[in-house]
Amino acid sequence: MKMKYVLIYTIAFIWLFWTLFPLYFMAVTSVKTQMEFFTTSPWQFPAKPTFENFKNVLSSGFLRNILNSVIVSGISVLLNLFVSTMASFAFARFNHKVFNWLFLIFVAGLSIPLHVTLIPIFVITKRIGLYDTLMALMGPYIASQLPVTILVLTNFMRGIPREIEDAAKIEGCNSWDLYWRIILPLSKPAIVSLGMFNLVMYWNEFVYALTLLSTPSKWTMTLGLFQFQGRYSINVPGMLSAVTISTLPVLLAYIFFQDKIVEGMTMGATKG
Amino acid sequence: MRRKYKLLTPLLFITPALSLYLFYFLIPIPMSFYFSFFDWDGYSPPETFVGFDNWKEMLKDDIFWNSLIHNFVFVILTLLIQIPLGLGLGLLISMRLKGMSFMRTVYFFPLLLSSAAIGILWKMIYEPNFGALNAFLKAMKLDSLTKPWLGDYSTALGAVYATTSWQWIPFYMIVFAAAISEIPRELYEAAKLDGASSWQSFLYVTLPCLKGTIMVTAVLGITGSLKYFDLVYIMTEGGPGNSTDLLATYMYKLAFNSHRMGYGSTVACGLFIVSFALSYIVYRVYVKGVEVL
Repeated sequence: MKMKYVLIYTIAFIWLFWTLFPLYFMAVTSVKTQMEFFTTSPWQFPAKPTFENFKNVLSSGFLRNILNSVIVSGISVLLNLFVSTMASFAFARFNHKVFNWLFLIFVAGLSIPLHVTLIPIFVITKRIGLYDTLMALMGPYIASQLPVTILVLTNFMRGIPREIEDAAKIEGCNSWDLYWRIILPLSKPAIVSLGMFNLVMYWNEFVYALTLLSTPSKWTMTLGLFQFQGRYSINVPGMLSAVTISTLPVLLAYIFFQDKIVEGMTMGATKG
Repeated sequence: MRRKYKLLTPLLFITPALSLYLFYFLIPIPMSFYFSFFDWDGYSPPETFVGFDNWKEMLKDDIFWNSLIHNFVFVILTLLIQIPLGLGLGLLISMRLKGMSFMRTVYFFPLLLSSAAIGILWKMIYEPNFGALNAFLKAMKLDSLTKPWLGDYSTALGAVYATTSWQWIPFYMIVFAAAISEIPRELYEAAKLDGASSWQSFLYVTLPCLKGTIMVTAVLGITGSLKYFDLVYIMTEGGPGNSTDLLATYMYKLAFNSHRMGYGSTVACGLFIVSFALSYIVYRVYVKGVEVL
């Protein structure tokens, strides 16, 4: 019996090490000077931690990129939740061949890589004059997350008992009232989890930003990271302090909303 | 009249989502096919119609087929490594033992990081001169094993794959943990009463209850493996040579770095056809599987 626990905890600690060593390397290196990084082992804690790197990164325009990410992800999440809840309400409550087909078309999007659409989206975005603006990202961001959001929300809304609505209908509620006053408040748990999930996805999104933005002041956080590493790849501590900064908001959110974030991440797989 | 009205209201509710989805997802797919018949640099409108030339080129293009093979290697490794390890870790963190909820919290971390952050971080870990991995090997007196991990043809794909595993195994773990938490406790108690060992109760209670979840994760793993782009593009840009190229990175580089939009679109269509066929097969197998279970 003792042996079994030793084995279990050995595995648990090996995986703990595997998960944490890159993050340890990141944190330790980000507080080293370049000189110290080149002369000491990457595993060694610095004699005198310095926050110079963070100051340099934040004054180099990266703050602007972070702000761009906050704006784009925030607006995209809200718009996505708005249009998805409306569509899911219709899918969950109106039974007709047409809607079943439309629902299937949305769900089918889950298995198609969005990269198939990149060139046309690039062309469309240029044509409508949105290329190299933050606005350009919002359409693709929302569209790319519609399949999973609508799938999960529709299944959730199907589980809401109809009796409440029937009562509301007798009271004279129209469809909009049903959606806005009854279904939406009752779906709050699913909406919050999906909102968290989408926020993390948008915050971390890379390929649309890479394709649709070019001016440094328009870059999102991830694109900023990518471009910095292309330019300053010699400055490893600087790079890794930028990486550290980019991960802090999500890690902080995780500390406060752990359950919601974990739930949001798995919903697509477990509630679909 | 009444019938029509009944259809109109829900259609209005669906319209905003549907128009975004049409504009940014559905219509671009036939557009890709249209572009695939042109020779086109992306700056001027597509002018030079070349018929099936791009398609013929693609079928003879070794890089295209190698990229496809790399995608399939990722599929197979996901089924053989990520999902089983995810299941094992899911079981581990579901044990009612001291410290496991802490482990669960920490194990989840990689899922929160952007692929950009993970890619850069691991690029520094693999860095030949100052990277953490080679430093670790040297400290262990294993100098002969040190390598330019991402610069070496023989190790680059594996090194990138290790990073995707670091990122995605926690996802499978958490999906399995969620499924395990829904297995009724009575089943285990009944098994215990019947004198089952913990290995037996895993084999005859846990595993059968997880069949559905295993299939779902397999589907996600298969379709997800065709969607890899960020990590590879950031860590190696498909290099050295094309030894780590996937369909998506090859397509992107053709279109946006070499300005061969027409041929890039053809590869995009290839990616579409592969993922469509694969999802169809997976779907059929899945339906069969559900019937058998």
